[in-house]
Amino acid sequence: MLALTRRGLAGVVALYSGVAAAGWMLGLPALTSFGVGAAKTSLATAACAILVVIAVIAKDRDERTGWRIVWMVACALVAAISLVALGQYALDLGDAGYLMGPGMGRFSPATAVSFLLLSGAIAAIGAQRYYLGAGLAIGALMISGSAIVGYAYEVAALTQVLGFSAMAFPTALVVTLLAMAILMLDPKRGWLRHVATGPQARSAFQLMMPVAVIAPFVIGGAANWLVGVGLVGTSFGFAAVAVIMIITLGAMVVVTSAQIGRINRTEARLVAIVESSDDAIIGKDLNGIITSWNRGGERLFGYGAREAIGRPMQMLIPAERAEEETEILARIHRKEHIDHFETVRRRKDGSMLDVSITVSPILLASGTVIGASSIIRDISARKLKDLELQRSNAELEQFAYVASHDLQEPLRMVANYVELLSQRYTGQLDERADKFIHYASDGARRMQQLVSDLLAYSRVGSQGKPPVPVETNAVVDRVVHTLQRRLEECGGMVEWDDLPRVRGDEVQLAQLFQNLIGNALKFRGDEPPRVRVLSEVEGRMVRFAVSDNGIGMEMRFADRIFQMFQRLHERSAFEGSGIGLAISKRIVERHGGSIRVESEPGRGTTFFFTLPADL
Amino acid sequence: MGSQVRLLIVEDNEADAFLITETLQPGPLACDPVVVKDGVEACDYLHARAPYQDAAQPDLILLDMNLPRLNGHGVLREIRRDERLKRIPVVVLSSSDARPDVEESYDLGANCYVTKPVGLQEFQSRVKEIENFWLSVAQLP
Repeated sequence: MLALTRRGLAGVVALYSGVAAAGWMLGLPALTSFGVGAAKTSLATAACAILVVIAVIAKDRDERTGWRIVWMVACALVAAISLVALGQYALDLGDAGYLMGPGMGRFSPATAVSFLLLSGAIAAIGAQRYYLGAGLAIGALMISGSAIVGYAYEVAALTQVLGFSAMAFPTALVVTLLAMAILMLDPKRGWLRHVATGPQARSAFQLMMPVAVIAPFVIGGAANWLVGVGLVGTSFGFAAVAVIMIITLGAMVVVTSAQIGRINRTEARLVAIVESSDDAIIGKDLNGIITSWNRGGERLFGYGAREAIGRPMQMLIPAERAEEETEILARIHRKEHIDHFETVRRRKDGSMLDVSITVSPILLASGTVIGASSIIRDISARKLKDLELQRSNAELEQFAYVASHDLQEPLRMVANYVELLSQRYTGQLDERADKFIHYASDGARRMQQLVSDLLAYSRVGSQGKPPVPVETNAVVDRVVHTLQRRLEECGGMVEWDDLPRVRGDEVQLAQLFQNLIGNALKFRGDEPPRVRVLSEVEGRMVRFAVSDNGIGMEMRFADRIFQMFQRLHERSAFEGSGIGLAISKRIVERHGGSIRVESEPGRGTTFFFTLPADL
Repeated sequence: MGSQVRLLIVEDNEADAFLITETLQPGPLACDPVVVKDGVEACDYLHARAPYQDAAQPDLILLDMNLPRLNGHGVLREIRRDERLKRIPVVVLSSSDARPDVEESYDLGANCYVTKPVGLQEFQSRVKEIENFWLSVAQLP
């Protein structure tokens, strides 16, 4: 929109300058003047105007090399022409200002100063001195604006500065348009960025600026005319202008203040949200320099907002993790988010803090990334709890292991000697004694089973191996092979898909499949058991299903079957101590997966579990 | 075999020692096992130190791993270091089936490693198999 306006302005100027130049060349002076006043746009003015247009267009395409030279040369030429004219005036030469010969119009000193300012403005913007550039352009605008007002109000002092020849009316318009075009250069970095960024700022500017220019002009003009024709006295005219101006300016102030107030309230709410957050909310630019810092940041890291803003984010990062920030910035450049990244950061006092970081790029409406916001959460309490939980789990595991291991010895003694007693003395004592011995022996045997199951259960954690890629097909194949005799006895069959590779402990995975398939064979119905193993990759996990056509169970027992030593059936109906599924659950969970069951009495059972895929 | 085979049982668990001797006694090859209760006693016996001045060198040793004072590995190391003792076959009889225990025993020169089974009948038959192999099948030094 701005670029279009800028080009439009430049186009109008170029068109008129061309016409004026042609007027001089073809001896049609009527083409060099319009509007009020007799002064004409000189050929030199037309030339300068065209050069400035060229410079503006070239500056616009500055990004491409070549154009830079063009605007530089054009500006230099304009400045040179203006300086020559001003020199002539300074030396008080008779033909001062007739740069292109006596018949080609006079280049007035006001015009020369204006073009000097315009060329300087372009050069300043080219050197990225945006405010200087804007100031110079506004200087030119003030000269041309004064001339226009002078013509409108018929005040010669404003058109013929210091008594020199007048700036022509068309020239004043040309300079005005050119100054506006120059002010619109580089809106993203120049002074315009303050008024053109954000919809409210833009609408305020677009509403107020025309009022600020046109209202005084019209009101002053009207008062001037009324006084001129004698309808009102001079004092009354000034008073009326003052009153109307007070009302107009007052209204503008009220509108602007109300708008700023609304923005302030919104901002205060946003600031309150950010400030009252327990998490550190930190803004940074694309170079990783901190641009905003909330109270949470102060609480977490010990730096106050004043200390932190302007310093690099790297100050929060321990030396050995320095490359993390590089990686984060690279991802922000690619407009990617970083979600709950758990790491360690350094406080002001040098101590370390466990944190979870979420970083999001800050995007303008145009889609450009200008920085990132980091939300940093203190997770040290959770980490500590995790650690404690881990330790207490490990201790419990160790306890279970030691207890079951150390229980085995004396238990073996009891079992062996009760057995020896029964071997040597059964039938030699009375029937009751035989019964006693039988129960003692049975109890000892059962307890041995429990202790050995407990040992097996505790070993899932204590003797597990680190995860490696495991060929699930091979594991299932081996398990089915070891179950071959049981399968033949019951006429059972196991089918499986082409199963994907997973990451895990091969021995434990074999135990898992053996438990589940063995379970399916054990709780078979009247028909020969058919077990199916299916799989499906779901993201980073593989979901397995082991289903059978066995006796099934009611779903209200679904949780109980995974608990240690929980059995649903009479000991006499199905043997086993009820440890298999508890071990299976532990194996799956140790691998970071989960297990559940779906079942219906008489219809069969399906176990679903997930294991990490080997990607 | 003409002369009787001398068997040394190193076992701190009296019940197990008793069970072993109980199992051996009705066996075809009568022998008179000696039982010592820890690693230091075992070394004293093997070196014929007091109170075992009159001890004769055993032909076969059944060695438990988990012993007070000096454990089975220590005893095994002592036997293999000694010129007079190093040829005596040692059968490790242990309740541990942990890999490191098994591997270290063989590294130290055990002739075989047998775990104590859980049930009585298995225990008895395993002891019988040991007896049968070492006293009838194998040729002792």
